[in-house]
Amino acid sequence: MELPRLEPLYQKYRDQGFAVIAIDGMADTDRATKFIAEKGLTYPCLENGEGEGDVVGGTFGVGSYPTSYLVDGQGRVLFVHVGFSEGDEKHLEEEIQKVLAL
Amino acid sequence: MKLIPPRGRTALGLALLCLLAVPVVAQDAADPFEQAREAFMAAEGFDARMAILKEFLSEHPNHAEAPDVLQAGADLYIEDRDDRPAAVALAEHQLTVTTDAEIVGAVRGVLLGLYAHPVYAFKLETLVTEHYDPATMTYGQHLNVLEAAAAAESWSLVDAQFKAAMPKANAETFAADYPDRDFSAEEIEVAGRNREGLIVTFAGWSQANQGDAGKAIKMYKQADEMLRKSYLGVPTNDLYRFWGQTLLMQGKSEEGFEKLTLAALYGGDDEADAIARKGYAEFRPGESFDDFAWTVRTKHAPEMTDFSAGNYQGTVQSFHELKGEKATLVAFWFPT
Repeated sequence: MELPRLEPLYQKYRDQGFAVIAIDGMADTDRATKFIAEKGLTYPCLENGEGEGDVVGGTFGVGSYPTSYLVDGQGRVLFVHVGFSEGDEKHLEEEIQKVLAL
Repeated sequence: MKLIPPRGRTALGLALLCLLAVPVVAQDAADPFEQAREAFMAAEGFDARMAILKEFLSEHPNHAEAPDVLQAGADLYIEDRDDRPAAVALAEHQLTVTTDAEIVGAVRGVLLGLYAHPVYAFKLETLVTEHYDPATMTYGQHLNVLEAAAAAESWSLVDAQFKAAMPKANAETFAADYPDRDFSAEEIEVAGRNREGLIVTFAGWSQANQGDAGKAIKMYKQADEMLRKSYLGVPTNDLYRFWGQTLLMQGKSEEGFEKLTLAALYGGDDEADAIARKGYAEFRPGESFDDFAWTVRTKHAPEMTDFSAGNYQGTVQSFHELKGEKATLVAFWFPT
């Protein structure tokens, strides 16, 4: 899911126990910080590392962007979203609501 | 609603990606490929872009990038117009005007992929018989043919390729294919087993389609032990889709839909998703497939690994510190 589209969902559900964590897989600091500032993203944004710090490719094996995991309060990955299409926000919101209702 | 929405790219995007994917080091503005790429990126709409691709293919059939451009054109026809016959015609024509032996081989590779449909089974078998010698084929070529043959439902071809590929599906051929890479002995061993698992998957599917579902399931179980799994716990090939469909053939519907759901949810397999939805609607009319899928998810959901990474203020933060009480979306991205 494109990051700016997550911001309204974050604002809408954060008080209900929902969080967003973004990780820049390419670790392009300059472009990422500019993008985050321009789009006004308020949730935590992290930067992927190298070697043992390679979380994106190393730990999770993610090679396609954007990829998102929706994790419940017990730490279970209950929904995976790859890519972006129009209308995906609505689908994602439904999934968030389901997980929040658990 | 799909478990995993299709990737956010149109056919035009696919073609563009294909062109952009070509290494761009030492770009030469005078190179006709570079000119075509720039024109392609500036063009809008199917007709304009296809015209650029066709003009390049017509004027530079032996250019090193011609096979990639051909693939981009074929992708455009299939993804944007759902017109595989036009894509096949484009590639078959290109084969008649290409003379460089290496480029001819690559164009045949494009054609191989386009023949991956039951309508073209005979053409696929002819192409492979005439131009692919099992004695000299690489493991990768066998895998490509197996994939095409399975999609074309040419089971005799699958069986023949499986037999020829088995001696090449091992750690030794993997290591030989990557002589300059510094893999550990364990990585090479795992990759070799993965190679075997990939082709056993197709052999199992062939058995299922020839009426021996029991033998197919045994082969799937072998493949499942050999294949590398994604972080989410499923193989990244077609195994779970084939397995699910075979279980449905055996009348083991619940198990079959469960495998298909796992392929769709954690393997990103859109085809498995479509098969499961259609089948479930017939199996349990009026019942919600999404409700069924939800139970599969809660039963099989992989556990999130805690991780740490730096933020842009120089502080290392961990998932367990940042996660929400009830739900957390971890978004992997890169700035565009």
